[in-house]
Amino acid sequence: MTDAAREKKLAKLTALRAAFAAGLPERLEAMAACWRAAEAADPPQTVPAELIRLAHSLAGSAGTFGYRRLGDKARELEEALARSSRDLPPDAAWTARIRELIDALRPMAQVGPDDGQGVAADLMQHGNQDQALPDNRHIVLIEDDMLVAQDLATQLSMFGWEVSVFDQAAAARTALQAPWPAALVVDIALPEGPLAGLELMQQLQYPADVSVPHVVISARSDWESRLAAVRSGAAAYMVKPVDVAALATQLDRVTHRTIHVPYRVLVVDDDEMLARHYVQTLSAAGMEANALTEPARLLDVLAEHQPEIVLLDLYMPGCSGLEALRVIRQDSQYASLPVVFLSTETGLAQQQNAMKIGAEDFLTKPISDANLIMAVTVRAERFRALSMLIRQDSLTGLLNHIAFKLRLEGEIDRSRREHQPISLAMLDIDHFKKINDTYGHPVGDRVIKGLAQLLSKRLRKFDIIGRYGGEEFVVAMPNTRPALAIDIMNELRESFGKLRFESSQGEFTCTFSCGVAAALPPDNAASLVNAADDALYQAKRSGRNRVEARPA
Amino acid sequence: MPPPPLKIMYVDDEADIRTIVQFALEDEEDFVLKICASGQEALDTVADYRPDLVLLDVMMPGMDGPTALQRLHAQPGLGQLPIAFVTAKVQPQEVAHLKALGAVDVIAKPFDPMALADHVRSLWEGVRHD
Repeated sequence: MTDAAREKKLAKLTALRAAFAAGLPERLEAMAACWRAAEAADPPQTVPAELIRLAHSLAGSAGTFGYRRLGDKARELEEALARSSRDLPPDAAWTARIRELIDALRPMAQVGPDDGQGVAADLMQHGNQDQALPDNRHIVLIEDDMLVAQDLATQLSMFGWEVSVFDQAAAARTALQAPWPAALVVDIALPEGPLAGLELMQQLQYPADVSVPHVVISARSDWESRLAAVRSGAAAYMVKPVDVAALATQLDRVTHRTIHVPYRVLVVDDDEMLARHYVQTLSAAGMEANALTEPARLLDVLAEHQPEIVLLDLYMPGCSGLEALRVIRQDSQYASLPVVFLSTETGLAQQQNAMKIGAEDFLTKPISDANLIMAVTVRAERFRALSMLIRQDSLTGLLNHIAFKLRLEGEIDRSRREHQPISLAMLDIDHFKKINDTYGHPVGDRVIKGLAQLLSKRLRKFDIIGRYGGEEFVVAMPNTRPALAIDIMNELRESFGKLRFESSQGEFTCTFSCGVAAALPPDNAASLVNAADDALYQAKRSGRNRVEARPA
Repeated sequence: MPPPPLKIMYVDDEADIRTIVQFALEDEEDFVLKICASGQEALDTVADYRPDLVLLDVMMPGMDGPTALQRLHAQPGLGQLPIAFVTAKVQPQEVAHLKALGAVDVIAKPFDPMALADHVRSLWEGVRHD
């Protein structure tokens, strides 16, 4: 089978599995209802034939649709029902056993496929793939106006892209080959003709497993041009003069370069071996997992790691999982943090108890790696999406003031314990009020977004960036001495000064001032922020467009 | 010239399994597939369809797999028709028992839908070279 055929087949299988999964609750309810009716019948019906049929049907199909454990459990039920109808008169023990088996089916159905080929396995592969992907930062720009081209290339390089420029379709056609660029940026009109750029896009032949998205730039904004661009398969269309920050955002989008920060998971289990195994499994799937074996340190670790999901063992010495959950929920900042219990306990009463005090879910040990990964991923994903709505600054997508302060406090605790320095930079766009007054607020917003993009692109993954308010930004740089922080900020300052923004009154550039404070070991968030703020004030007073530093 | 496609008949009372078998075998160029929902349907159509290979679920209501096998083999000219069972019970003694009934092989349930076509191919290779 070719890869494409296999891909298509897998997609179809996923759809079939989804349809099967969608029908499961109804089937399980039918079985439960059947059993309730048999128990309530007078005289009690010993073995309802319909239940045997339903159990047999589920036993035969569940495994093939990826629900192996569900299939096995249904088989057990089918055999228990059949054995009784053959050999034994039904008694209380048998009745209890059947009820237990029927009850056990539902959680298995809810957990999802467990044959290592379902969503969980895809996630696992995906996690590994992500790490294996080479970082392709190469963009090919095809633009006949060399001045515009060189300028775009320089500005895109500020956002971390490496740009090759061609001024004719013919030259680009010969040059384009493996290793393929991450994306193409192409002008509609080239020396070969008014639509030569789009014609080139349609002529390009890629190998089956390569797809290079293209973004169209054009001086024209009419319907026909845009339609022609869509027909050429363009991923985006931008009118000249091009807003570079917006183009950089589009390139991130079309190359799927929106950075995926690993989900943070905390595993609390007194069994060290088991905790380590979970951490290894989740780490292998690309998550940032930490283990905690003593519940007494739970609150410290929560504040420091800011996990997006907690896996909690139900039985621990000194403190039960339920008690630990109560402690977590008492702190309002963790009111919505998903906490999932891991336990060998399958009793419904215990599970309901846990749900009542705010557990997100209940996973039964032993749990397959694939199931664990899936259970954690879907919940962490949802939690992150929801909390982002609350934490994010809506204009820039950076952390807002409150969220930044929380993260900063966590980082400072970590730095103190690890005896590592931490640097804090506060940035303020110079004369921002004048920009707003002169060019209007929408242009001012573009400047803010431009700086936000630049910071997100150029800072390191572990740096924490926030919009502190208005035109003020703040960056926490863990494990970073002030000298390095000052260098980083100066580089950014120079790059930002070269970014050109468009307005109805022509192009303009702007600058920012920056204050850096650092401490080893840091004292507390407030004193660090105050020191950085002082340094920023100093930078403004000594003439702006500069970086000043203060010890905290 | 490519060899003629293998004509397969699959018999199972479970609609879900019929769906997934259809999915697993239908797009294969070297297979032609007919799916029956019961042993009776298989008996009614086997003379017209003339399969090369029958895959038969063991546990079915009404006529079960072993009965269906015996009746299929009792049809005129079909005494040697290769029939394989599909079952969840694959303990050695079960397999031996099913083979003693005249089955050429036993396929385990649950099966991997993505691998079923290859499994059937190698099963058929075994039957042809037997």
